[in-house]
Amino acid sequence: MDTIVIEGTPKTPSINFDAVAGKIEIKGRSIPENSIEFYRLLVEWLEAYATAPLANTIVNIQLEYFNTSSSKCILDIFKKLENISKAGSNIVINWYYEEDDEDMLEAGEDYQSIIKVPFKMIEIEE
Amino acid sequence: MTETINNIEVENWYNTLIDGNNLLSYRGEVTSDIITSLIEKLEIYFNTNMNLKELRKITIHVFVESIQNIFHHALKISDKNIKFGIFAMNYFENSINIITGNYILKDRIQILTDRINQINSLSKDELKALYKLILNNDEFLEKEGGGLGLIDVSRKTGTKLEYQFLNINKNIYFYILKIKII
Repeated sequence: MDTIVIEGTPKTPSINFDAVAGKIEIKGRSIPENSIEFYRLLVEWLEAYATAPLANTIVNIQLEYFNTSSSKCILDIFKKLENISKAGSNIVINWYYEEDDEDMLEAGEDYQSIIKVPFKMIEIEE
Repeated sequence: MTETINNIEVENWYNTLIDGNNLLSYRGEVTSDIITSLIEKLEIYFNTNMNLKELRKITIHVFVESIQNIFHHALKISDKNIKFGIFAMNYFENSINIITGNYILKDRIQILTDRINQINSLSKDELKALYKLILNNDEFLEKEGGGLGLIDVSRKTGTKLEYQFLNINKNIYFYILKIKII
């Protein structure tokens, strides 16, 4: 499987989806107007990864901002990960939030309550 | 849209928004590039006014939601066929007021009124529950967000949304939304 590496922009996050390392990273900002278009490639990649996932997959989500149209796309990503987890792969979602950013912590907790995959909330210094 | 638009009231209203407390304003076509450049301006403003550091994150978040709301939902008007929007952000007595305006068809008034009144009537926990319900239900989310933006803004600011509709002609109104960040 190809690794997806996308540089971040002022409106879209940096992406590193690496099937060989079993590492999935989304970092930066996710505030595009066309979120569905941006995330389509990532959802398709996860569908392909689901056919032969590694025994362990690490997911790192470190977002500064995300808009509500991205929030649904991020949930779609998590639902794909939940399916991979149900099929027996060990998945942990590391949800990073900046110190004092209670809104971002709460956003992670919202996903945690919907998705049946272990979340780890990690505070980072600004 | 071929109907005549009487913009005098909208212009007069816009002029009242811009005073000494204004930190960002815009009127015109709302495009993806315009939104990007306004975000950049806002970030420069917050980076040079460190006394507002605590309001930076929430203000940029609310700005993005409210201007993208215009981008996704504004009625295209006149022969120019553009998504016209008005945006103003004022800082006054330790709070930031965001005001947005865009054209809508008359039949949207009842939907918007009901939705905003519902959001304003809910507690923090009820807003959180509604947000998660809509987020996790595809039927609500067919058109870029499905009302999630207003709920999100209300959750984050903890303040009540204010709204107003200016009558432009028989079928068209100008929808004004005011959001307070404290």
